[in-house]
Amino acid sequence: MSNKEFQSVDMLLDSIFKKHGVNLDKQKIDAKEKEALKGIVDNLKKSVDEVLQEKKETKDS
Amino acid sequence: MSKSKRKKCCNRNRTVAIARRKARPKHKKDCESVRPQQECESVSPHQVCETHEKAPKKWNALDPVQNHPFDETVIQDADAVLKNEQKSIESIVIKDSADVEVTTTDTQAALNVQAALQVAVALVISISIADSSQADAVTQDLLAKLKTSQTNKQQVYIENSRGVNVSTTDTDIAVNVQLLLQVLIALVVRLDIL
Repeated sequence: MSNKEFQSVDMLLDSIFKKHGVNLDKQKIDAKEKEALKGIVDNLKKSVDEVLQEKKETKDS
Repeated sequence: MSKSKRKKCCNRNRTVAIARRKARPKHKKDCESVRPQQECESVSPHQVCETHEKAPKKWNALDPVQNHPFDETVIQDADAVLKNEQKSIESIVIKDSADVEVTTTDTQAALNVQAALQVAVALVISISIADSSQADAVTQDLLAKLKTSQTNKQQVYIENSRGVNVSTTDTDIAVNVQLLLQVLIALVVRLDIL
């Protein structure tokens, strides 16, 4: 994923948080939760990669 | 009773009936008629038909404004917020042919991943924003921005052929799984998780 794409996603998040007047509170999440979330994100990354890989294989065949 | 007397009596009854009918309000009379819906429509808009005001309005297939009773998405606004459209249009025409075998596979593979990503986004927001109603509003607003549309079209035309085997595979990959992953990563980066 390119930086440009991330930039637009960041801006989108900023605008939504600003609109609702909220901020993500880092202190609310403890180390255990952080570890669990990291695991979830890693698994989802793998799933998305698999889906994209399947798509590529389907196109090639 | 003489003939003339009987006639007079009948006329009197008739006069009473007419007087009663005249005394009744017009809309009430209309509501009691055989075709109530049509009759009530003929009543001026300022008059209210009591019977039909109480009764639920019947769905009319010919009315373009009325939604179908089974069309629940119109009522449930919350469900309509997230719109991911995936369409597969497949057309196969076989003409003047023999021994033709067509195998088609249509898989919507990424739907599970997409749902899992949406849940993860909602989870991260809900545990990092104290106010739950605000967290819900942010999640809904965020997911509403991620609308995608994907249409796959396949057309197969076989004419004047014999012994043909055709195999097509149409895999709908939700293009927004990548986008949802980006959003999720951006969120967790802000929380110093990644």
